[in-house]
Formats: sequence, C-alpha cells, structure tokens
Amino acid sequence: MKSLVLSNFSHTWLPLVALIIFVTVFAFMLIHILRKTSGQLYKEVEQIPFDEGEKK
Amino acid sequence: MNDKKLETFSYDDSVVKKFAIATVLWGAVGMLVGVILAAQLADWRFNFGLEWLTFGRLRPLHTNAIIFAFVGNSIFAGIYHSTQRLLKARMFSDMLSNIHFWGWQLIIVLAALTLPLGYTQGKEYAELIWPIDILITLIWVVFAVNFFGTLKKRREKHIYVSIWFYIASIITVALLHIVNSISLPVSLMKSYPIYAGVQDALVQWWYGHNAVAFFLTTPVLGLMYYYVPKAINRPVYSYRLSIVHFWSLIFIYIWAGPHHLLYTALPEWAQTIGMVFSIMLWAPSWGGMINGLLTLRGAWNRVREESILKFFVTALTFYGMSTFEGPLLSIKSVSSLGHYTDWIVGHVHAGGIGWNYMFAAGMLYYMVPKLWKTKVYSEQIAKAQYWTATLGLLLYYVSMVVAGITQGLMWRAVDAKGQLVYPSFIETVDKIVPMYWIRLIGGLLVLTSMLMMIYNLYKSIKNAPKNVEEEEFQAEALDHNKYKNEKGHRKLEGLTATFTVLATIAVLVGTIIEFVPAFLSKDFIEVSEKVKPYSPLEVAGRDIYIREGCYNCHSQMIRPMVSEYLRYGKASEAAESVYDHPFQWGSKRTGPDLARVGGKYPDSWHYFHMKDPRKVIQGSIMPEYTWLFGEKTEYQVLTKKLKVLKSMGVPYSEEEIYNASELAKEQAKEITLNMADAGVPMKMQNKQIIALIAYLQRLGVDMKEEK
Ligand code: HEC
Repeated sequence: MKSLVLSNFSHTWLPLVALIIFVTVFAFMLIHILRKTSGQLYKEVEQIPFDEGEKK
Repeated sequence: MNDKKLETFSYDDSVVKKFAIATVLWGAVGMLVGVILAAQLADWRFNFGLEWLTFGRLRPLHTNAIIFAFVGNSIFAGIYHSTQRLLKARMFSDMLSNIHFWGWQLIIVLAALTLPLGYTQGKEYAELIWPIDILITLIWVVFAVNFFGTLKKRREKHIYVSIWFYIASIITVALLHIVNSISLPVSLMKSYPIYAGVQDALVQWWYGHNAVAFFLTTPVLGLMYYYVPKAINRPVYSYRLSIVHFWSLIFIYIWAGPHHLLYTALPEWAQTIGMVFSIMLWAPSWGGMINGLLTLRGAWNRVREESILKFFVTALTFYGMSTFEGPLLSIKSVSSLGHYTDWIVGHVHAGGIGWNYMFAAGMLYYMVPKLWKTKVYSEQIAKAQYWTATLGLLLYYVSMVVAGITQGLMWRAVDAKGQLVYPSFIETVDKIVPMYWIRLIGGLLVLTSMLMMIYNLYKSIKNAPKNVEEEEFQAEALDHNKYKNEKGHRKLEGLTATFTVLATIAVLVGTIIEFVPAFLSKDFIEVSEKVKPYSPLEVAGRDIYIREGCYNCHSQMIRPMVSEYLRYGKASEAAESVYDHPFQWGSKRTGPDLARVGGKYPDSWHYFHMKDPRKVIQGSIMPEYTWLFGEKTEYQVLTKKLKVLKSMGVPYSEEEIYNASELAKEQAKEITLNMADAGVPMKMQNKQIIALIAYLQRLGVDMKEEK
C-alpha cells in the first residue's frame, strides 16, 4: 500500500525540472564555447602542458 | 619587453615518487585480495576456515583497497605531478604534501586491519568505521588546502582543463564522503548512520555511484587530458570538446545514483531520474573518449611500438566500453536482468581494470623514468605486462557477463504453469561455478601483470643515477593587474574561486533535487502500524549480520516481478525498512534474497546451516560461520545501542531500553529451547548464533502476506 502511495505521488515534474535545468545549462555552455573569440584563447591554453618553465 | 620578472622555482617530485611507489604496492595487495575472493567463489574452502578471510569481511577490503589505495594513490601521484607543471609552481607546502601522503597510507593500513576484523559500517565502499572516516576528512582537507594553495601561487594565468577536473573531484568527494558518513557512535568502533531504509539507500547510492564518478573517473580524465598529450607530444584533439565534456559530465553524473536502485522500494520518480540521466551520460563520456583517442590520430604506428600509448589507448577504449555498458544497464528492462548478478561485477572490472589500471600503468611508465631521470628497464616486460593484463581482463569480463546473464535468465524462467523452472537457488549457482574458475584465471593474470610492472619499475629505479639535484626552472610571475581588464570567458578561465563555485553548484543541483523530496518523504511514508522495531536480541543479531558482511552475498530487497514473487514472496515495501540503520538491501545475490526469510525455515535449520551450509544444502558455496557458535553475544551494550537508535527516531520505550539486556537474554533462551528437540544444548543460549537466528527469523515477517 505504501509503495503504491509513493509511486503515485506526483513527482513527475521533478525529472522535468531536472531536464530543463540541464538543457539550459548545456545551451549556455555551448554558446559560450562556440563564440568566435574563444578560438584564440583555446589555442593558447591547449599548449600549457608543454611549457613547464625554462630550465635554469 | 625587459620588465618581466623571472622567478626561479623547483617542483616537489619527492611526494610524487612516494605516491607512485604506494600505487603499485597497494595495487598488488588489492588485486591479491581480489584473487583470494575469486577463489572462494569457485571453491569456498579458500577462506581456510579463518573468520577474517571469509568473503563478507574480505570483499570490502578488496573494493576499498582498489578504489582508495590503488587508484587513490595513483591519482594523487598524477595530480601532484601534473598540477605543479600546469601551474608552474611548487606545491603550496611540502609539509602538507607529506601529511597527505603519510596520512593516506595510515588510513589504508587502518582499513586493512579493521575490515577483516569485522569493524564496518555495512555501507558499500563506505565501510570504514567513524574514527577512520574523520581521519579521511582531515586528510582530504589537508589535500584541498595544499591544492588550492598551489592554485593561488601559480605562475600560469589560465587554468588548463585537467585542473578543472581536479577541482570538481576534490570538492565533490568531500561532499559525498561527509554526507554519506554521518552517523552516531555507540562506541569507538561502532556507529549507526543517521539515515534509515529508503533514505539511506538513496544517500548511499548517490555516494556509491559518485565515488565511481568523482574518484575513479573525473580525476583520471583530468590526468588523461594531461598525460595523453604529453606522451604523444601534441595538444589535445579539441580543447572545446574537453570543456563540453567537463561541464556535462559533472552536471549529469551526480544524478545517476538511483540506477543502482531500479525496481526497489525507492520512489518511482527517483528511479526515472536515475535512468534518464544515466542514459544521457553516454554522450559526454563518449565525447571524452573520442577526444582522447583522436589526440593520437595519425600516430597509430607509435601505438604499435610504445607500451605507454598501448596502455592509454586501451584505457580509453575501456572507458568508452564501460560508459556504454553503464547506461545500457540503467535501462530498467536491462537492469531487471542484470541487477544482482555477476554481469555487474564484470562491468565494474571492465572499468577498474580496463580503465583505471591500464591508465595508471601508462601514466607510471611515462612518469617514473622522468622522476628518477632514467629509462624504463625493459620495454619487453612492459609489452608482456600489457598483453597479460589484457588477456586476463578479457577472461574476467567475458566469464562474468556469461555467468551473470545465465544466472539472471535462470532466476526469471517461469514455465507455462506459472511456476519457477529453477526453484532451487543453488542450481543456478552450480551452473556458473565453472565461470568462477575462469574468472579466477583472469584475475591471476591481471595480478601477474601487476607484479611484472613492479619488477620492471623497481629495476628502472634501481638503475637510476643517485643523488640527482632538484632541477630549477624559471617563469614569469603572475601579474594580476595585467589581466584586470579581461572580460567574460577569459576571466572565468582565470578566476578559480568563481569556477569552483560554479562547479559546486553543478553538483549540488542534482543532489538537492534528488535529496529534498526524499527527506520530506518521511512525512508521507506513513510508518506502518505493522512494522515494529527490532527486539534487542534482533539488534544484536543484525549487528552480527553487518559485521560478517552478509550483504556482500545477500540482498534484502524483493523486486516487483513475477519470478521474484514466486521465489521470495511479495515485493519489499519502503515502510519495511524504516528502522534499518543502515539499510541492508545489498547489490549482489551470490546467495538468495533474505528479505522474507523469516519463518521460512525452523530455527534449527539456520543453526545447522550457518555451522555447515553443505550439510543442509548440497553444493552450497556459502562460508561456514563456526565462530558464531563460540563467541558470546554482547548483552551489556544493547541499552546503549537502543538509546542511540531511539535518538534517531526508532520508537523504543524507556523500559525496553533499560531492560534491553534482560529482554535479549529471555528471547535467546526461548529460541534455544525451541531447538532442543533438534539437539541444540541450552548452553548455546548466550552465543552469537542465537542472536543471528533471531534476526534472520524476523526478516520480512511484519508485512508477510496473509494466506
Ligand atoms: C560467499 C557468499 C555468501 C556469504 C558471505 C553468505 N552467504 Fe548465505 N548463502 C549463500 C549461498 C550461495 C546460499 C544458497 C545456498 C545455501 O542455502 O547454502 C546462501 C543461503 C543462505 C540462507 C538460506 C536462504 C534461503 O532462503 O534458503 C541464509 C539464511 C543465509 N544464506 C544467511 C547468511 C548469513 C546470515 C550470512 C552472514 C553471516 C551469509 N548468509 C553469508 C552465500 C553466502
């Protein structure tokens, strides 16, 4: 009986909220990284592993 | 420009070396324990009749050793090594680095001592008792201070994507560990978690799943984004993709825990969230894998020749396979077949061996020669190690998937008359024992490969020049004023604080949306009239059940399916475990479900079964629990235990608490008297076996179906 009550409890909006939040965040992130200006920045950043400072 | 200020500094590699050595040593120990466990399932006698080697006590040691000792030390080695170089700065404090290292090893040693002795909290991958939990928290804080301190004194403006992964991992692991470990102590070695039943299950698997995510995956992905480009000497295929990978992964991962609880008494909406987000996880995971593999594009000939790259490519491939299989297993209908079976065991080993071990091996072969200024002793041994490990992994994985699916199908087989085709559980075990032998061979091969690496690295280090001085480097100091006018994205790249907050929010969103209703649910799980708290003796028995780790082989959660109804009785309900601190639903059925075992057999059946399972069930692979027949039940602590349980909401009366010990003794006497006809002497009444029987006979009886 209890599990019946639980499973009928209307929480269907919760997965929906979760999905909406995710899609929004994801869309913002995409717009953010696909901006034209970011290309140059990433070119610099991806080189970081290859610069450990000059050996003295 | 001549006005740039060059600063001279050096990297602290001594702590990296220590973590690297600890990685392989604990790795071998963890794998050896795994091999012993594998042997025990093939033939139970491999516990040599020693209580602290029995499956239920040893399996937590294996999982903890592999996760926290082997992979833990390897990610610390990699993080300390790469972070300093990516930030062009020595670690914030050498002393904190050392406290971190020695503190972590102390934790591992304590785990290795307490778990076989039966000191456990009975929650998977979080078994360690509360004082060790506190120690873990302290050491983690030391690590975090050291890490963020280094970030602060860095000489590199931009934060490379690896560092992002490290930050998210450090924050989230802290959150997971603290929230899941909250418990009230009864004594120095014993405590009860504040959560019970469904809530405990939700918190536990939020933790358990995200231990996989934020301990075994995200830190290693951070390492991958550093070491794969370094090993092949070219930048990552797409830096953009790595950012998409990062944000979507941490945002989605945190939700996926409930996929461990499909078809349980967890509310349906939470199961749905778990399933949907798990399936979504497939996309970013594969994005990451592709990004890693494409970094190697055009250099496949080198993969053929260099073991480092072989290990990395295999690791990425298994990362891809496991993150495909994971979402697949999260689909409810697939889960209904795979859950509780060896398929899941195969799945985690594809991740653990295929991804974590292979990656660690590649990283160590890259790192050790650099750290010790030497060459790898033998490329031949490295190659042989690679093939041995790969063959072992394949044998392991295939045998477990075959065993899992075979047994899963046998459990659910129902004939035309609506009856179970294989009503006897042991028949379904017998069928897969040959697979357990093949798994053992696979495990032995993987262990052998580990020993080969130890030998190879040992020889490499031994041949290294002695007393090399620490190298010094120069780099420009970070001039914050220079970047003052940057906007938007550039700013975010540099602003660690903002970034850390955003990453924290990303993991908190999923956590909160899942947790809040679950905690409010206390209001709407009407505590059933029928479900009563455990009697004092049953509490004592339950603690023995937890101590012996029976949950490593037995579930206590009947799923709402015809075949389960026929085998075990009606489906478990949330109300039935409201007093279970901790919940003991389990995750694997090496033996049958026990949720409604109460009353199924007479007391004496359990008595003789626990003493020698094979006397009762021919071909059983359950261990003998002979020591329960010698050790006495601890009656004195029961009052304290009930008091603690009451403080967490279990409705005991003052009288019960006060008389706990007397009540327990009375019930024990009654049970023993019951078994007199079967030849059980009265002097057994104060032995632990009686308490355990009391508990087993209580399971599921409160809400049994009235016939
Ligand atoms: C290595 C795995 C393993 C461990 C650990 C283990 N069991 Fe078992 N258990 C089995 C198997 C397999 C069976 C089925 C064969 C049999 O009945 O002996 C079983 C059967 C049982 C049964 C009979 C269930 C039924 O419905 O017939 C009970 C009761 C039981 N176990 C209790 C325990 C308790 C209590 C512990 C911990 C003290 C424990 N088991 C630990 C594997 C295990």
